[in-house]
Amino acid sequence: MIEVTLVQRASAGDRTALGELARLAYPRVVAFCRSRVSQRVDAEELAQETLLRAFASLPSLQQPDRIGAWLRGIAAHLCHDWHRSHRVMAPLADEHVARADLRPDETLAQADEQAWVQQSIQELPPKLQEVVFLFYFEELTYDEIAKWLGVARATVNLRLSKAREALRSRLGSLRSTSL
Amino acid sequence: MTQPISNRDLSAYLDGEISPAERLLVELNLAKDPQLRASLDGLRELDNLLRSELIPPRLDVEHLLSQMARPENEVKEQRFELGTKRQHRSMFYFGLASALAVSLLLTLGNWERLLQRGTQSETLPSSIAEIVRSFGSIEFRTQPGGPWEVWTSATLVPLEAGVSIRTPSDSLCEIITQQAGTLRLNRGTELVLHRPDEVELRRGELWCETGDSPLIVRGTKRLEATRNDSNQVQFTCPQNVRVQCRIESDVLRLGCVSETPLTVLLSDQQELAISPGEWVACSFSVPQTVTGQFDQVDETAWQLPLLMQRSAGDSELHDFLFVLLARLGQSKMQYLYEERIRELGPPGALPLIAFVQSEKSRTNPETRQRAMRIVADLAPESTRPDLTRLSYDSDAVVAGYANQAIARLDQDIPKQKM
Repeated sequence: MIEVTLVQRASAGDRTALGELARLAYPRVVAFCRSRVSQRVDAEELAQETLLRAFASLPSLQQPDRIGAWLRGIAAHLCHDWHRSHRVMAPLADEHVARADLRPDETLAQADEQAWVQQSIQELPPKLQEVVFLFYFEELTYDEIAKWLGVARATVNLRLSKAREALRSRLGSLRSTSL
Repeated sequence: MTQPISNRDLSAYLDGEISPAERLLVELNLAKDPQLRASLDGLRELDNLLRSELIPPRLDVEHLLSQMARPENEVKEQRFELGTKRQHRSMFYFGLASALAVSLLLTLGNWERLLQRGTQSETLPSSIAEIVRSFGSIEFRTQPGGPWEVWTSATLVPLEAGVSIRTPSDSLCEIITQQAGTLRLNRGTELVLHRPDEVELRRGELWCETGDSPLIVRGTKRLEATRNDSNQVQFTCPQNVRVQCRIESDVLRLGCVSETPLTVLLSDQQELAISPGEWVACSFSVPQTVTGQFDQVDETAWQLPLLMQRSAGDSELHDFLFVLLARLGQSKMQYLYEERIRELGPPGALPLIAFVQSEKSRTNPETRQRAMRIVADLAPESTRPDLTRLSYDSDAVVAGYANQAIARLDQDIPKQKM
């Protein structure tokens, strides 16, 4: 949980608080960026950039309890810019490269599974992806995720449930085709 | 009377995010509805998969804060460096692809000259174990709850009692313990090294060679409801055996990789014998064990990138490549038409030769003979030692084809010299 007091201390220039805020917020911002930018490395870079920009203007944050929405707003702009500047590049997800590389023959089922997870998540709508990443990266509770996203707890439950339903159905298809 | 349970309810139940009354309702329905139980099992399987594959991103907080303190032009340069990480990543995968490609090249006959890198490191006397090789970045922390640090091959890290080690979703590592045991961590694995002879697997998969003393492998399950460490089960494995352990949704599973049967001690000190190619699983929640078939090649194939780093004379690497190649040959014979295999030219004969030399092929003499018929026409010069061995095969047809191949190669020599 990111406490308001932590944000206030960070805003006042407390380096320890800034470090703690960065540690707590980073996986959540990565979760947002990964739901918009499929490649993990790019998403992590964008998340770091988001934190750098946010921390530079942290004193201007009027409502410390809205830190989640604020960080996601900055991240959304950066992801948008990223898409504009990468429009001409053909998408080549890291995970897809890994999948191709990790298959010397059909026995490496593990590689399939790993690639399947990454690819299947990418195929989900961004809102569902973000909840999946938040839940599995950080093991946040539904309430914590709801607070971070600014939505109702039931919405978190619904999104996670929908995401799992879609992923399970894809897992079933994968297994039936690999038989 | 009970009400129907939705996917949302089941999902929340799995995560421990429902009230006691709702929980009771779900459990009542679970008790009477096998389809609902199957749905829950499916959800658990998916949950376990996602937990093992989605590794939390880590941040070098100090580095980030130091960037804040630096002038903007320096930060831009640093960001440029960050941008190049993707290229490094591509190079990493290119390396991985190369490693696997090399694995096939090695089997073309001259692999011994290609792999001359000895990678044995000196063991630090103060440590109980040492990471000796890795594939990708490895993280460790010396105290529970402490910060994770990244291990690189350039640093010798003494792994002291209590150290936690984890592999991200694209990394593997191998650890040698003080008692000459070997531990290999699959992708997405986390373990705690309590003692040289006791490890705690918290998630993922671990291959162990037990070395000079028995090894205790404990599995810890985290309860979905509380997210706290909870139930534990353990296997005590005898010395000098090979096993592979994996945490699945509700069990700790142990597969026998050794060539001979072994006996493990369970948590309740009960003895259990496991044969090669068999696994046993202990439930975290109920005192129950189940067994099943363990495919030693498929299940341990994830180690290949690590084995590729071993020296040329390493018998484990050689055996593994041979078994993989034989498996490939078997698949080709089962699923491809003969013309398709012949289209591959001389390299197509290599998996077939490995297959014919494998023990498994002897259960199907007809396929073995068909494979040798192709080998007779395709086998390259580098396979002459194998062909010579096969010319003494107990199956006269196989031996005949081997001699035919040797005769063809003898005829080809003058052509090659011309």
